[in-house]
Amino acid sequence: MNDNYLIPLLLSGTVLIALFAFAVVIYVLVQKQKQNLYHLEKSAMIYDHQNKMLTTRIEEQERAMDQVSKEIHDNLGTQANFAKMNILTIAMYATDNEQISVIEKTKTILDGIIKDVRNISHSLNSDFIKDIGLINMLQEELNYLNLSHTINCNIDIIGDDVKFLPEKELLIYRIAQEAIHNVSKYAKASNLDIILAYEPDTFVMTIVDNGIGFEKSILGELKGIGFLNMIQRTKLLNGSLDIESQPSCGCKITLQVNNTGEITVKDDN
Amino acid sequence: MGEFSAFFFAKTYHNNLPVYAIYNIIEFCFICLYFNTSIDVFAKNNTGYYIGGIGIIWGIANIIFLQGFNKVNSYFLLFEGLSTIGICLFAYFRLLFHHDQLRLYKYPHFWFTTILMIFWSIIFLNWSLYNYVSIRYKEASWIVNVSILFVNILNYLSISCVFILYPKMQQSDE
Repeated sequence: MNDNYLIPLLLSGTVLIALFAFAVVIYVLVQKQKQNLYHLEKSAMIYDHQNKMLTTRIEEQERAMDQVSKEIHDNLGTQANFAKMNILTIAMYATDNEQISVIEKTKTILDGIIKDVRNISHSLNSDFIKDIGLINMLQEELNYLNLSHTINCNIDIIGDDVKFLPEKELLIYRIAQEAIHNVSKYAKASNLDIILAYEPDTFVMTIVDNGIGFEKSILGELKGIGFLNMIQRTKLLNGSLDIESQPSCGCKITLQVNNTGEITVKDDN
Repeated sequence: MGEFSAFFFAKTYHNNLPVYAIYNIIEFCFICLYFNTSIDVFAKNNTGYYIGGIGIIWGIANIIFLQGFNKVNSYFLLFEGLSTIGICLFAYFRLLFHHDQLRLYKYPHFWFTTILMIFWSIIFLNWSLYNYVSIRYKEASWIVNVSILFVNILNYLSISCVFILYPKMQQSDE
């Protein structure tokens, strides 16, 4: 080899290898960027799809509940009212004190049935819930539960009431309804408190009972879909749901939802 | 430590090539150990240890039978350069192979691999042809010396930068 060419050859070889190294590094960076973008798009698509599935499922549930609500209202409610009218008619012809007493008792029972049917129908009907609003509906639910005289229910509202979109209010109400239902069915609680805190950017709903509680680890083993529904509805609200419980220490469920951009309704009274 | 020892040997014995001959073997072992922890497949199969072991055997054999302590161990450096560049390319392949959302510019191992690969790519021919150039083309050997010095400084500075930014990178990656 001619020595005159050695240094230029060495330099050009070095430059070529270095260029190759730089090209590899740039290729890896660009390729990884593309890969990340692809994964991001894929995750977004999966999330979107899951959200749509979830929305459809919950909409279907709501539709079924609406249907049941209408059936209860139109069928059971109407028939109970007819029965009450008949009882009233019989009462007009009753002369015997014993007969009147039995008719009065039957009327009281029928009144109770009509009231229960109305309450159940209302709590299932999504349009009614949307119209009446979250706080009123929760109040009605608790009043209904208070009638049982086995559990003392209270609702506290902190801050200025924020009017959510009706669909959002319905989701929040359904979460609360599920929690209240669980308390009345399993918790053996004597006290149930619901706190609705309207903070500047967030809405926090806390449901606390003093019942028997449970090990948090059994949540995944529960066969019912109640908790699952609560979690799925929370996902649709883009919120967070925290469940705190210990055996014989009651249970505390906290729902946190962002309320930025919602309409504030200030109570003038 | 290697550089200080080399300086001391140069001043005292007027020959620091033995230091570099041993230092290069140790350096290669450290590189192999590093990649044995940073590349998942290497960690799984202990490939880094095997390559390091081959490096030690080859380095010692080179000192004893081929180039000794009076020459730059260019055969070993050729092997070290090729192995390091090859391992770096494999590390990149594994980085791309992983389907996780990794932001490379905030990933310290990517930068270590990049620095090592660029360093060895630039210095590869210089070291490999060092003996040949210094004997056959003495007047121009300063170019090789300066380029080796410059690339080494750049290499150490870059590694220091990654170490300084290491906590920040880890936080950003969380």
